[in-house]
Amino acid sequence: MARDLNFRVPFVTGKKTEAVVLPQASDLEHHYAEITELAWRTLRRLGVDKEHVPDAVQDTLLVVHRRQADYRGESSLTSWVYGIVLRVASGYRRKERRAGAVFGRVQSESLEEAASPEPTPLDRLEQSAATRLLHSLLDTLAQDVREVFVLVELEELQVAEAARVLGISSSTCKGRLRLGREQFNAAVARHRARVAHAEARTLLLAEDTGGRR
Amino acid sequence: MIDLDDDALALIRAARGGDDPTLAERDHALAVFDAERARQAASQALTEQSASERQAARSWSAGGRPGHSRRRLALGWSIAAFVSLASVGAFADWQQVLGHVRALGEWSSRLFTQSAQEPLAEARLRPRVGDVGPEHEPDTAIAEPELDPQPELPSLTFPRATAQPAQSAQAVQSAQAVQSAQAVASVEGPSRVEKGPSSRVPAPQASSSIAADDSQLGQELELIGRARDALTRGDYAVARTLTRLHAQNYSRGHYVEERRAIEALAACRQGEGSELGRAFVARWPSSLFTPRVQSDCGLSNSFPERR
Repeated sequence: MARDLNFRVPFVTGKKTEAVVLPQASDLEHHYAEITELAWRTLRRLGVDKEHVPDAVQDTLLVVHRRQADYRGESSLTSWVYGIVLRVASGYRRKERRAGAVFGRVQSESLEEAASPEPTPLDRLEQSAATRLLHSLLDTLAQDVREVFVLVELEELQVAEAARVLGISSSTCKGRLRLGREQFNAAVARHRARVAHAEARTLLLAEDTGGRR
Repeated sequence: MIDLDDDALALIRAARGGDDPTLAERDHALAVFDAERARQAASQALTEQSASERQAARSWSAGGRPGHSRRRLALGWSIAAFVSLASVGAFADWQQVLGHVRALGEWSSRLFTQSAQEPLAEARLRPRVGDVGPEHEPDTAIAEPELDPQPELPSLTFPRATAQPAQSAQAVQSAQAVQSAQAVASVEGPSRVEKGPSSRVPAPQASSSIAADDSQLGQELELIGRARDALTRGDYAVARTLTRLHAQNYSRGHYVEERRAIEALAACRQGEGSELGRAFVARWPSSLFTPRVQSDCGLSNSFPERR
């Protein structure tokens, strides 16, 4: 889907596509659109508040631009950009936590969003609802586990590459991934149980109301 | 390794693409980024420009007053000589002692300045960036007598001499005095010369204006060079910001033609129409940049006939 459109050769990594040529730093100029999409998506999935995402994307682009001379081609360009995105996301989460502590804001954005349905077109409604649900389930993961989970399961990096991006060993990365999968499976199961419970309750209420009438 | 459940995989599949920015969001982010880059590049250009000016000023202040160390050395020689002579006790008359000390000081200072005199004079006459302004006048006041092989006698600290033949002996005496004063002045630097009532020789206007023009030309050239570099590497927004900066600072500068060419090329390559290109070709039909502007802006490739 969107991934295949976004990750064009040579700006390519992941399981489904092959990295053909690593672009040089001077070629980066042609990839800013793809970097923007990658940063936007990943920042959201790493828990940066929706209203802060444009600013965080700008910060990412500026860091990429400023440090492009440092890119030596030792890792793929995607990994290098992911590393920058992760650090930017970490900074924004810190800021948001501080702001939350000061203003007493509760991180219940996904619930508020779910309560106020946006006027999205019908074909995007399911995707939008699924995205909100995904974010709310990702919020239940610990941050270090979430980073591994997002990079491997959602961004489809190899475990070794994700470990390189995060600066951790492969075994640590695998351990966090296992934990992430367990927790995510459990969160999905809980959600499924809640939905089933709500549906059953609605059904019972409807039957009860019908019986009284 | 544990795998994700089917429900979890289905959720991830359903949410795929939901976090991508819309085209409008992406384009807006890129536009903001381009503007920020252009702003940073322009501010960096200005910072480097002012840094080079500061560097030039520092090099002037470091190299422009070389007489200080020599003066200290000459003073050291004088004191050493005074102490040795006084300890010997060969002179009972203090006036005589002081006269000898002064003579020794002059001799030693002449010894140390003689070798450095010519390069020093050259360095003073060479136009430098930032060599304009009242604070540089003492330097030109020293350099001026070296420029003039027949220095105007009354212009220094000594009594005004007349050109009457009857007073020729006095004039010769004055000339000798002036020569020795010049020697002292060249050693002691500006402070000594400034003490005289008419010691300030007006700064040579021509060299100051040449230095100023040279400095401005260098800055203008640097700005245009940066704009051209940005154009070459495809930073069209940066190139246009720099040309705007050039237009603000050097609206009638030496590189207006180059600026207009860069503006036109950047606009055409950004796909913002060929108006600027057309205007450039109309204004400079036989410019060296005209063929490039014509080809990049998709204008007709007809050269005007040269007469």
